[in-house]
Amino acid sequence: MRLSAMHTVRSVAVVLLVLSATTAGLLIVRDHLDPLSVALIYLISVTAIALRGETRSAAVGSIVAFLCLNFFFITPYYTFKVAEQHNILELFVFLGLSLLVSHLVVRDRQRTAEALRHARESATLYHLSTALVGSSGMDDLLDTVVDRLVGAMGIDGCSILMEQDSVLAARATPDATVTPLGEGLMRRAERARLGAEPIETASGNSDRVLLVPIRSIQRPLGVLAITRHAGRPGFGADETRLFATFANQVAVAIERNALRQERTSAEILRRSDELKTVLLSAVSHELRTPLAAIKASATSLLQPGVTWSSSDQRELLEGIDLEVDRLNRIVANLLDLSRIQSGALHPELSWNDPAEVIYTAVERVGSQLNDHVITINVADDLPLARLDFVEIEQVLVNLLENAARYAPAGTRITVTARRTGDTVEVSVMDEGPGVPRGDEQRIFETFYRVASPGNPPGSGVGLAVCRGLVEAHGGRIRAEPAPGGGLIVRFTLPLDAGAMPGVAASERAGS
Amino acid sequence: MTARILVVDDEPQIRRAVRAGLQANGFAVELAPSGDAALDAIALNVPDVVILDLGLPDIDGIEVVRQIREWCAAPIIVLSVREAERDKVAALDAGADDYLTKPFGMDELLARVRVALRHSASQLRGEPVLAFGDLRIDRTSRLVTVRDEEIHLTPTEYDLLCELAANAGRVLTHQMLLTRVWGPASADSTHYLRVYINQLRQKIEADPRRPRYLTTEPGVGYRFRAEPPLDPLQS
Repeated sequence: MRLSAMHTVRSVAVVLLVLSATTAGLLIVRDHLDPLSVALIYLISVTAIALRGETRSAAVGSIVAFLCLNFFFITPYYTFKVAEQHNILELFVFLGLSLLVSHLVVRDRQRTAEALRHARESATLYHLSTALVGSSGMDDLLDTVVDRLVGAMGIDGCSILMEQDSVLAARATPDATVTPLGEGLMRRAERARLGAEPIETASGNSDRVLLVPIRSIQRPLGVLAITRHAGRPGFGADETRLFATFANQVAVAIERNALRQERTSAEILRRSDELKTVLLSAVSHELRTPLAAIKASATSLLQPGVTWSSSDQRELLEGIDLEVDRLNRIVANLLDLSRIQSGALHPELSWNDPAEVIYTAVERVGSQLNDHVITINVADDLPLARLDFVEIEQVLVNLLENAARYAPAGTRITVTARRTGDTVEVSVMDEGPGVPRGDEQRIFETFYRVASPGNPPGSGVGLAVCRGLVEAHGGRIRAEPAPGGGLIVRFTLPLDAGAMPGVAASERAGS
Repeated sequence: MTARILVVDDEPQIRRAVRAGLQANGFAVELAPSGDAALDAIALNVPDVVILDLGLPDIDGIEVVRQIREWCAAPIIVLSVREAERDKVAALDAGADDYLTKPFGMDELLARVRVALRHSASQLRGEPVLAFGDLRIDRTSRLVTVRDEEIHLTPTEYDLLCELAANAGRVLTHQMLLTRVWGPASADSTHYLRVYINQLRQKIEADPRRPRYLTTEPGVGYRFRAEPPLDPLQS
């Protein structure tokens, strides 16, 4: 109330000031002017007042100017009497004209201002909407809403209450812009959520709060709570409408976000399905080869009326035995792969001698290495390392089998183990064809196979398993071309330097 | 007298194959498809060896081992898959005598069964002299010789070797060896075991990197191999 009183006093003062100045100026030159000219000059002043003030002050200005014209410039001077008849007409024409002009000017100005405000509001809304489109994820979206609102529209605080388990809870509240809503306010927010119209209310410390429901077509989603400190002007009808529009946009954004999340999980499902399909085709191919050999051998032996020599029979049975071992290795790798990919791999770390792991692995690969020359170089100072024996053995078995599969018979396969700084580095080098340059890291990807017609088929699983197992130990694996052709695959295992408890020195000295 | 063997597995194909293999080698075979059936069969008539699959449909295999061990000393050989090292160790610590990883060869199973029968027949623990190939351990004089040459062992090395050799053919878990040789307080100190096994291999093995006696059971423990390793091409 005080504000609007001050406003009235100021606009009356402006009217009086302008008209006094005009009157004073005209009085100086009164003898050289006829009343019609004076009336026109007053009209200019009134128009000037209308250009700055409101309808009311423009009307007051018109009337005051009418009185001044009569009092100072119509004979007899300094009375409101009018001596000549035609002056009466002039006076009232002036009053009518003045009222009309000032009204038109004020109305035009108000329309311009309104158009400007609309434009500004549209701009604000536009910026908010663009920000909503650009946001990714629900939290980001709600933060964006709050940021933009607090920055843009003379708002001191803003929070978004979202429905969580059918109870409203604050989701986005940047520090210091709003104090958490009190219990009473939360109740009112609850009411606003269910209604369609914004509710204007006041908080405990008499800040103004506008509660705007955020709702999609189907259901209420939450409430946008906008706060203005006491002392600022309240929320006008236009502003309230604007916030309601904005809340609608937020609702659309929230819905869209939910849809996008659904789509993303559908996409993830689709990709893992694709992966499974690739896996199935690669695996069924690799499984079918040993199965075909087993089936052929077994049905040969089962043929009625055929008498096999004991050496032929033995050969067929040994073939079955070998193929079963191969199947078993494939299945082991597949199980490891699925544990790696599902994150179910937990190495059981204990102190082990890397050399023991290497020799055990070489023994397990056994007859597959018969056609190659195996060289094992293990450094004498190799310390114990904390590792899962079975898993690292599997890494070595896969690397050795790979080397034996791709390198021609009679070539050398070299296994080297040494200490490098705070890791143990193990490498397997072959004299095979190697891999195409640039593909050295890709060979550890699941289902990667060197695309070349002469290559024996593999499932592309073994090396992926190697990488998974080594990385689960905190190690690294990489491949590089061997000097003179062939491939070196190196992997490292971290050494927890100083972590190994000592073994009684006297015992070792006495040995 | 024919040894009686109880085979416990829920897969009919496995039961059938194992029975055929064992019967062909002169054993009497009884079959049980579940843990409950196995416990009933043992209560009725104690077998000489139990072959027990750890993945049974009704009772956890390790629990079956525990229940058998409450009152029965018959040797138990557990069957398990490669990924289940933890289960194998748990079964061995619960009282199983040996394990075999599926899929296994009949030759391996027969070897394990024979070791189990020999152990229940005569305990090597009490014998004064243990002799395997070129290795001889005289426990009265604590003298160890390889190819008639005396080998100097530290007291811990000697204890470890005796523990393994007295259980020749059987797997001993890390925890069993650590508890029996170093004491219960050292049950988790696997690094002791790695260091001492390595030292023992250096002293008694012809090729310490390809041990003939002290073999590693990955993820489980160690086994003292009494027989020379089979040539894989002749198996």
